[in-house]
Amino acid sequence: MSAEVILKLCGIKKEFSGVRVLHGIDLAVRSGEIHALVGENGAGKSTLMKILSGVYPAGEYGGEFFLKGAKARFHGIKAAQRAGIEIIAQELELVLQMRVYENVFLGSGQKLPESEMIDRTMKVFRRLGIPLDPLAPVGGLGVGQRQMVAIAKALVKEADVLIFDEPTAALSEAESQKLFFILRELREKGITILYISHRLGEVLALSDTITVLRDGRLVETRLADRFDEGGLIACMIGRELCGRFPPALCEPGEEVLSVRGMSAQDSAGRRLVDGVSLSVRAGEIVGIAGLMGAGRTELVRCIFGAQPGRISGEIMLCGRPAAVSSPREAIRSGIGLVSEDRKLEGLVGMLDVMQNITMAGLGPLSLHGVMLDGEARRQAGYYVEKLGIRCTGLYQRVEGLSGGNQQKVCIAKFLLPKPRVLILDEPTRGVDVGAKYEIYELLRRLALEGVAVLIVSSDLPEVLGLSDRILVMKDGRITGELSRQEATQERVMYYATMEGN
Amino acid sequence: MESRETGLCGRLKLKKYVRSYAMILALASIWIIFQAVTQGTFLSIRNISNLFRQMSVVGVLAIGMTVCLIAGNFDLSVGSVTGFLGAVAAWSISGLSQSPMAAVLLAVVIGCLIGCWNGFWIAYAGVPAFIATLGSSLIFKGGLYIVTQGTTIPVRDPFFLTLGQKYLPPALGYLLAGGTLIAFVFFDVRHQSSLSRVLGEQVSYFKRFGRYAGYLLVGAAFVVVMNSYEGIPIAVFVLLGLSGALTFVLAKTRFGRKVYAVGGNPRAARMSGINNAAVCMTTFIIMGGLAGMAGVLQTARLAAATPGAAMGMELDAVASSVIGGVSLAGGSGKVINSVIGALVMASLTNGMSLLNVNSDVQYIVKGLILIVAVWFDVRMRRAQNG
Repeated sequence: MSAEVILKLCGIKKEFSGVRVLHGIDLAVRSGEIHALVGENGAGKSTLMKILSGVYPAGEYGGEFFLKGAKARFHGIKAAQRAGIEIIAQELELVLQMRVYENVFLGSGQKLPESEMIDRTMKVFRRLGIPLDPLAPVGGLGVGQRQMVAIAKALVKEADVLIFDEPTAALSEAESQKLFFILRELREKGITILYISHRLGEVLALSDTITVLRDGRLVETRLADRFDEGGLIACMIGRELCGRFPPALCEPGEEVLSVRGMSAQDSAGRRLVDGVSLSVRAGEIVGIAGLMGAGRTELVRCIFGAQPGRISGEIMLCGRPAAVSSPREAIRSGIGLVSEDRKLEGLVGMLDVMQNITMAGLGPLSLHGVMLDGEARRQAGYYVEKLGIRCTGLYQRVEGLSGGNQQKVCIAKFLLPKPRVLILDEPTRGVDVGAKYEIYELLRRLALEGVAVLIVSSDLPEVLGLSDRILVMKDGRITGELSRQEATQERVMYYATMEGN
Repeated sequence: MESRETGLCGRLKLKKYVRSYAMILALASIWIIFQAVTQGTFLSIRNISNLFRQMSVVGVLAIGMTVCLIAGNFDLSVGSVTGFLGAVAAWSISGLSQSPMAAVLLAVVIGCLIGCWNGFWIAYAGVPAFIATLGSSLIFKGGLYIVTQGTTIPVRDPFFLTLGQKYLPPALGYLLAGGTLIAFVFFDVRHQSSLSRVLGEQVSYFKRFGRYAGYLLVGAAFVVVMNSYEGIPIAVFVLLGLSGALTFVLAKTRFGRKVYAVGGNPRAARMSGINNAAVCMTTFIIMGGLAGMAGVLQTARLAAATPGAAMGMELDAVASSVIGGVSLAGGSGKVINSVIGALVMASLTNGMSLLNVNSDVQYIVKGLILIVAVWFDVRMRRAQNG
């Protein structure tokens, strides 16, 4: 590969109120390659991409960069787009009330008759093999499909450089595969792709070149085939990780959680969960795998009493029936659920670490309604230490913590009431590599302490590596159960895509 | 973004300081300006006493509003409800010849029931607080006309009037201030020592004693000024007592923790096993009870209940809270800051009245201040999210 350099960065520096987050990045991106940027949260990947795409305008950063040989000075996103750089962010900026083609041409600056717009959208879709109807309302599309719309939107503006910031974070395996196919198509068409992701497997499979950032410095740029996963991780965190998944050490004990015939319908009468039965024993980690929309999240929310709509089925805890119709009752009877979206449902960002950790266990930390502050601090401090939550103190607001540490706070919150069952929905989403393995170790340790652990994850290697037993869901039912020994990616995918009956 | 975030936090902290001092600064400049323009009348001992007495009614409403706002709601009915309950208290004394204690109790209990009513619609029936409390505002405006029959109900019971017009004996004022300070220092020392036990952190003695000295100075100045007139007005004493109690509730009780959690992120609160509806309901009950107390103070201060009493006071209460830094988005705020906010609002009213500014202009000024204060709040939050 000796294609010309399309993007050349020279000594890019950036600081936020005196704290330097990029220490002079030099990087050359060749035309028509898929160039991955990896690094832990806080390494500076997103900041760098925001500079390239004009989110941080010229003058707010040090150093300079050249696009197609010409010095680029963007004073906003629009300017970057005109020059041909487009960022497809984690939160897609689409108008859900409008149709696909309207979104595609929104803000493109092109005034075209509708038929022309529909036509051109069709063309882009056909070129990339995207099976989407330009007339469909965007609100009715899944996350993966919306991403396709965002890509088409960039392409009608004739972008040369597309930046993807964690595009697969919210995608299922199948949707990710579809996206990779399209990214390869784009590369064939000569479009340069900058790709940020935490999923190292897909980075290695997809990209031509990989650049590793650490603490705002460029550590390494190499062709992808010169890296393996272990080397990449070592490069990212600056040390070797031995044993990615902690091993199971003991025989599981008695059955703690038993669910019989759990079903859930939404208000439209669709069956989201359909007669699921499962059990988890003390000391066991059970993983629930499946594609997006398979009903995994809905199932665990049923168990936690947080699923709206019509619910039926029974829950037994340690052999006794438990009435769980709200999170409050679930927590009382010893169930905890670390939900998939910590910003939305896990944390109160403006409150401090201690207040967040103690939130689900206020009862035992108070006497006649008055908080026992000393005890609350002691307990919160204990979990901060036990989970290795890196914060400036118990009184730091949680919105200032990194993703991994926020996730640990969410977990600590449900450890404080001493649960018998801990459910984690996407336990490591948006968590950097180092913290990921700390969370794995923590879950294993909890299991050893006798907690029944149930995890839902879209990250297949995670489910396979962590679980003692894997349940696979499809269309609200459990279609397969695999032991640790027999589970492989292929088998899980087989059950996850199995046609009904 | 470890480093980026610490940078951001540093900046936020700075902004927070700027903000909490901005309020004091605003208060000081308002006082200085009025002092200059009124040629010394404004900061006369007599007027200061008067000023604090005037702020007590709005102050009581503002601290209740603070609790509602922190929980992510607000109550637009408090003006009408205050007027209504003030009239109820007046009517129970003058019409039913009840004892003043019974009148106070009646106003507070009915206030709590009205809070239940508001809370029911908002927390359990899902009606937005804006509509539910706007509706209540009309309802109790009607109620106020019914109770007063469109005329003024005079109150002559001397004990009842004491609440609004009399003063604590100076000696008692000193005693209370001294006692409060000692209790405060005692609890703070205990708190600090337990902090250092758990966290190994220690606030420097210099800083701590500086703070104690500051409180001593402010407290002493307040009592000395009040006592050099007639003493601490009982209405102000009531306001300070209620503020203290509410500060304790918010900072030190389980319920207080829940209020901040529900306001900060209702979904996270629910998923943490908090009964959001019950918390919301309780905040409105507290607001209602305080509206009852405010109504009593208002009637006692004017020695009568009028059909127009406390109209529009809900906006003064909201403005006081927002000036005091309570976020309209919920989840943050402090009672004591709202009291200072109420003092700012009262200073404006009082100063403009001294200058014989027409009430129409007063409305315009207060409206502008409300908008600017909220704008400031919105900008602060943008800075945090951006």
